[in-house]
Parts: sequence; C-alpha cells; structure tokens
Amino acid sequence: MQSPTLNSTSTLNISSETAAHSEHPDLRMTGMAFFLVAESMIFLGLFAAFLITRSMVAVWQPEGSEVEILLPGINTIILISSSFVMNRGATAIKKNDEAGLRFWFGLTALMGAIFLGGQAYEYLHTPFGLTTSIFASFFYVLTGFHGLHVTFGLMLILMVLWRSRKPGTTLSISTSEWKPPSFTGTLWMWCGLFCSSWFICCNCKVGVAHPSNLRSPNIDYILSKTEIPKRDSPSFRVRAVRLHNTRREVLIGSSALRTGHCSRNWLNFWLSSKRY
Amino acid sequence: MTAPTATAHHHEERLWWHFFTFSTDHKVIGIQYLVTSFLFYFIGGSLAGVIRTELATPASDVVSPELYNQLFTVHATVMIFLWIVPAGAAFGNYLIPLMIGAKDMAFPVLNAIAFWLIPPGGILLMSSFLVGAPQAGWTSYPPLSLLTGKPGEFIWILSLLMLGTSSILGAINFMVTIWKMRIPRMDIHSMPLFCWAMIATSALILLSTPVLAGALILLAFDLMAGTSFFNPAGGGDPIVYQHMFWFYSHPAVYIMILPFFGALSEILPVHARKPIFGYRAIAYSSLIISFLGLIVWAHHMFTSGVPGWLRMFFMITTMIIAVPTGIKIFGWLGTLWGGKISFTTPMLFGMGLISAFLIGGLTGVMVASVPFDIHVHDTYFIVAHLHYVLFGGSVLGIFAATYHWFPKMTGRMYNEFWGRVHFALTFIGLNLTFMPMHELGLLGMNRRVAMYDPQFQNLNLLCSFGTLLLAISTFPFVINMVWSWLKGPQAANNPWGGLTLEWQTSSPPSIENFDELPVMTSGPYDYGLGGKKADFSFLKPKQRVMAASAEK
Repeated sequence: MQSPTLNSTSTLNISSETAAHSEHPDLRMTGMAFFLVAESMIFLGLFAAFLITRSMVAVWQPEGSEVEILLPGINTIILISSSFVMNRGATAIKKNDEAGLRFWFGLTALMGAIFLGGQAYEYLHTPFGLTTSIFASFFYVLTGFHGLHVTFGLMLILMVLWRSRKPGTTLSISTSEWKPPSFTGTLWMWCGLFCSSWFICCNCKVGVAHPSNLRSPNIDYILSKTEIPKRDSPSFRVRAVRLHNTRREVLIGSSALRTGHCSRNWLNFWLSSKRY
Repeated sequence: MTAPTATAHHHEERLWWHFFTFSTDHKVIGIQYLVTSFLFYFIGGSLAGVIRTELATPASDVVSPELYNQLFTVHATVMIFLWIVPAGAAFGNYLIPLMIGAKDMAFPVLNAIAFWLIPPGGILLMSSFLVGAPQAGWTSYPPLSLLTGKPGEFIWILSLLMLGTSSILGAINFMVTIWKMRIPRMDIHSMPLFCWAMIATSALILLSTPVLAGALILLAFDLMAGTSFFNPAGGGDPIVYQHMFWFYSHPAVYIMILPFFGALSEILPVHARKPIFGYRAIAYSSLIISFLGLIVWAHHMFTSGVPGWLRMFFMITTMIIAVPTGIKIFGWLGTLWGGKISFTTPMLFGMGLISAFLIGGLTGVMVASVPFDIHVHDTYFIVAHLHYVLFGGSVLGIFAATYHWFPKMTGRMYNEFWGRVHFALTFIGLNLTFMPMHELGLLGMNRRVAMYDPQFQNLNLLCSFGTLLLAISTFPFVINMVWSWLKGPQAANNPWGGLTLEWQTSSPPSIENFDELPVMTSGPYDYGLGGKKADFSFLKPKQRVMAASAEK
C-alpha cells in the first residue's frame, strides 16, 4: 500500500536532493549532539567514581569537610533557571526581535557570571583544601571541571551577543542552517543538567549505596535472621570439608601450574586435580 | 553501476607536499593517518624486537629490568593508541565518504585537527624515554603508577589525553558523515558493511573514551597534586581506577578490531565473487558486539577481589559476546563457501585474519571463565591471547585493507608476488611468535618479567625467532609499498571488479571524489546476480592495470 507512494516520492526527490548535495551540508548541530554524548560520559564516569568511592568509605563525609547547602543551592537554581531565560532569547530570535535577543542573552550571561562568581566565593571560603580528604578532592575536581564548561558556555553566549551588535543579525541567524544560539543553548542547558545532578549527588543523603544508611542495616538484618551452624553440627562439617577441598585444589593447582611442577600436559593435570 | 569516465589528469593536482600540510581533504587525511600509524608500527615493533631479544635468554642481559618495564609499557601504548586505533581511523577517513558517495567528511577542519593531534601525541610519548619512560604497564594501575617515575607517567597521561581527544573528534565525524551524508538512494541497509562497522566503532569511542579521560585526569591529580582518588594511602580506592580504565580499555579491543571486521566484509565478497552471506546478520552483530562490549569490562579484574556475583555477571556477558563474533565468522565462511576464490594478497591476509582471530577468540572464551582465568591471570597465556586478537585480527586486517585499497589510494598497482611473500612470512612469524606463549603461560611463566626460570628458555627462543621472522617480513612490505607507489604500473579504476561506490571513481579519486553524483544500480555485494557476467568473473592481473602502462 505504501510502496508506490514511497517510490514515486523518492524518485522525485532525487533531483532536488542532488542539487542540495553539491554544497557541503551544515551538520554542526548533529555533531554537537554527539559531542555532548561524549562530554556526558566524562561526567558520568567521574560521578560513578565519586559514588563508588563514597560507598566504600566508612565515614561520610569526612570530618572538617562539611559543605554548606544554601549558597550552592541558590547557585544551582540560578544556573538552571538561566536555561529558561535563554529559551526566551531563542523565541525572540524566531520573532526577529533584536532587542529581546540582546536582553535575554545578556541576562543569561549575567546569571552565568553570578554562578561562576558564587563558585569562586565558595572556593575561597571552604574550610578544606584540595588534598584535605578524598571528599575535598572530589569536590574541587568535579566542580572545577563543571565550572570550566560553564566558562566555555559563557564565552559562547558573549560571542552571540557580540555578533548581535549590528542590526539585522537576528534575521541572518534564523535563516541560516547554522544556529549559534541553539548551539550555545544546548551546551548551556547541558551544563545546568550536570550542575543539578552534581548538587544532588553531593548533598542527597538518601538513595545511594551508603554504608551507614543502607548496607550495614541490611547485613545486620540478614545476619540476625541467619542461623550460623554450630561448630560440631553435621552441616558445618560438610561445608568446612568442602571449603577446605576447594581451597586446596586452587592452591595446589595454581602453584603447580605457575612453577611448572605439574605434568607438561596441562589438560591431564586439570583432569587429575579433580581427584582432590 | 555507471562508471564516470576515467580521468587520469585529476590526481595531478595533488602534489607530494600536500601530505605534510593541514589539508582538509579526507583522502589526504586518510593517507596521513595510515602512513603515520605505520611509522609508529615500526617504532612499536622495534621495541618488541628489543623485548624479545631480552627474553631470548633467562637472564637480564640486554637491558636492565627498569628499562625492560619502560619498553613493554611504551610498546603496548604505541601499538594500541598510535598504530591500530589510528589505522582504523585512516580507513574510516579514506573510505567512508567514497563508499557513501559524499564529497568529504561532515567536518573537514575538525578532521584535520583530529589527525594533527596524533603526531605531537606520539612524539610526546616517545620523548618520555629522555626523562625515564613510564614503567607501570599500559594499564598504569595505581598505586604502582604513582610510585614509579613521576615525569614519565605524567607524559604518558598527557599523551593519552591528546590521542583520546583525537579519537573522539574522529568518531563524531564518522557518525555524522554516515548518518547524514549518504547519497539519496542509499538507505541504511544498502550501505557497505564497513560503514556499519564504523558506526559501531564510533559509538564505542564516544561512550567509553571519555571515561578513560576522566580516570586519567583523576590519576594526574593523584600524581602531581597529591590527592588520593586512587591512592590507598590517602583513603582512595585503586579498584575504582581499574573499573574506569577497563570501561574504556575493554571496548578499546572492539574499537581496534571492528573497523577491520568491516574491511574484511568488503574484501571477501570481492575476491570470492559472491554476495556477502548474511548482510543483516553481519551488520547487526557489529552493533550487538559494541553494546555487549560495554558490559564486559570487569573480566580483566577477576583477581582484583571483585564480589562473586559481579564475576558471575561479567563471565556470562563475556561468553555471550562470542555469539555475535561467531555470527560474523560464519558469515565470512558462508561467503567463501563455493566462491570463485582468487588468492590475491588481500584475500590471503583476509583468510589469515579469520583463522588467527579464531584462535584468539577461542582463548578469549577460555579466559572468560573465572576458574581458568584465576590460573592464567598475568601469565603468558594472556599475552598469547591478546596478540592473537590484536596481531592476528587487527594487524592482518590492516594489511589486507592496505593491499586491497592500495590501487585506489595511490593509483598504482602493488607487486603481487612480494605481497604473497609478505603474507607467508607474516603468517608463519605470527604463529611462531605467539603460539608457544600459550604453553609458556600454562606452564606458569608470568608476563612483564625481564628474567625467568631457565626451564622456559626453549619456548622463549622459539618466540624470539618468530619475532625475527616478523621483523624480516616488514622489508618486502615496505619496499613493495614504496616502490609501487612511485614506480608501479598504473592501476585501473576498478582493478578488483568491486561494486561499492569507491570503485566507480578514478584511481586515485579526483579532489571532490566524484565527477558526477554516483548512482547505485545494484547492492554493494550483488556479485553474480542480475545476469551480469562481468561481475561474476574476477579481473585478470592484466586488466587490473591501465592499458598504457601494461604495455611498458
């Protein structure tokens, strides 16, 4: 049913697509999307390292490395809401409203600068240094890495503003395939996303595998419900013998293999070792 | 397919010094990648030569143990990050736009930047020998990497960050080019299989390389700033580094092999004059390999004290990955079955790849099982396994692809006789070098040691002799390539009678690849179908070169 339609349209399209093909297509937004996938993976890798380390450490957070929640919280809210402000700027471009573009992008840049200023203030007033504790190290490296991205985003926004200084800019931006504002906006929203997830990671005490609130109570519960067999009970003896044999097999096997004392035919050895 | 008229004058616009410039032409960049990676192959191979000379005797008599550590660390790093990964990018750059009928890559400038990160990264790495190269192995596990030679280790990290960035930029380019720039009539299921393989490779690069970058940044902080992300002395956890490292470095194995799986899927049908067996199975299995490749990393860490359930999970996923790989191998065998096989050099290397990679794949399933892995972990069995995968798989694949596309890249035909000599020496040398290592590992010889128990000497001598053969085998290759590029007979536009689009343009292709937009009139592998007799028979050697130069 569909195939005749499809065939006719695709034949018709060939000439027009051929014409379009002669110019180099502008695919920078697609490239940006793939680039952000890669960037997200750096952050996800660092988050994973942080969360795993956190779940391994007995005491969290280490003493002397308490972060305050108010200033970073306000900062996070400013950065996230600046994405919406920027969206107004994008709408202004579509309406060909130059004043709107300058106002909303200027406001976004201001909010980004406030965020960076707040971060610098926080760095200067924290009671710990880079190497004070493992938490402190993660804190500085991850927020610093994020701040670096915000700085790049801010520079891109300023570049858009610089380009908008001449009249008629919005028109050229919106008609060309290449849209610096949406390029910038994508990066900016992505910064906000990772800022908020870092904030949640850092401050949320519930819901992560944390020894003091999740794992140990579970283990305590399991231990309290499990009957540990008495030393002279039959089940204990069976398990002990089995464990002993396994360990012996592994130990003898590996040492013999490594030193070459076993038969040269490893398969024979492998089979014969099952006798233990 | 309609072949554009053969034009010989186009490539005259390309001069030799263009290959030393910041050119944005994907064909120049592809050749730049390939020649650079071959140079690093010879450097890495020389390091391997010193390693095998040292291991010819049980005593540490050629180099000191410290230098030996530096040698194997740099050998592995060069071979992975400066030889096989860039060689895959080389063929991706050269072939993707030609195969999909595009004029260039999606981002030509980005492409040139990606290439020009590689020579400085490589020189930086080699310069570490001046200050004491890294000694912690290419895995660079902390705390060992934090204790042995700070400057060398830091140079290693910087060099890897550069090479990783290059790899990511290349992957973005491949993805967008294949996704968006195919000719209108080429849908995703009539795309050459090499493009499928490059999609799978690029996805892996985009998802895993950044995690390595993250790990290296943290490691650099530990090394230079005194933090303790991975340093147990300060409360850090070295196992976290191992997880992050292998999250990249296991997929790296697939990043290194998938492009050449793709190239093999191109080479076999052409030289066997048969349609590829199971197009969709081979195409989708690339994607399945790249998905499964992301969830098998902890099989490198079975002896690192990871919990039992995690070992079980990674053992099962690792064994499952043999299934899509097996699908590919059966697809290739099905392609060869009943074909009119002509034993040209690319075909010989291709068939060598199937057999050698099969051995590497099977030992891979063996070491995937936890009990066996505990026995052979860090022994020469692992060395044998990884070299059968990387040399027997990737390197033979690079040679096959180099010979197959040599006439297209240079416009000249290589010498078939010396190509076959090169194959024979390489294949014998490969098996002689790496086959005895299986036995050595099972007997218990540890890897990364400069001195060993005298009882292992005979087998080690055999390995070293094989390495000598491999070293000798590069001479016919280099002489053949250089001589043919300069003086070889001029190649026909389509010397193999191939159906993919790169054979429909001149050899070498003109500046913008195609004089007119190429049109697909058949699928990429329709050999012997549709009553086209010419497609079924392989071109005779005389037909592979231009008429004029054949007379000379």
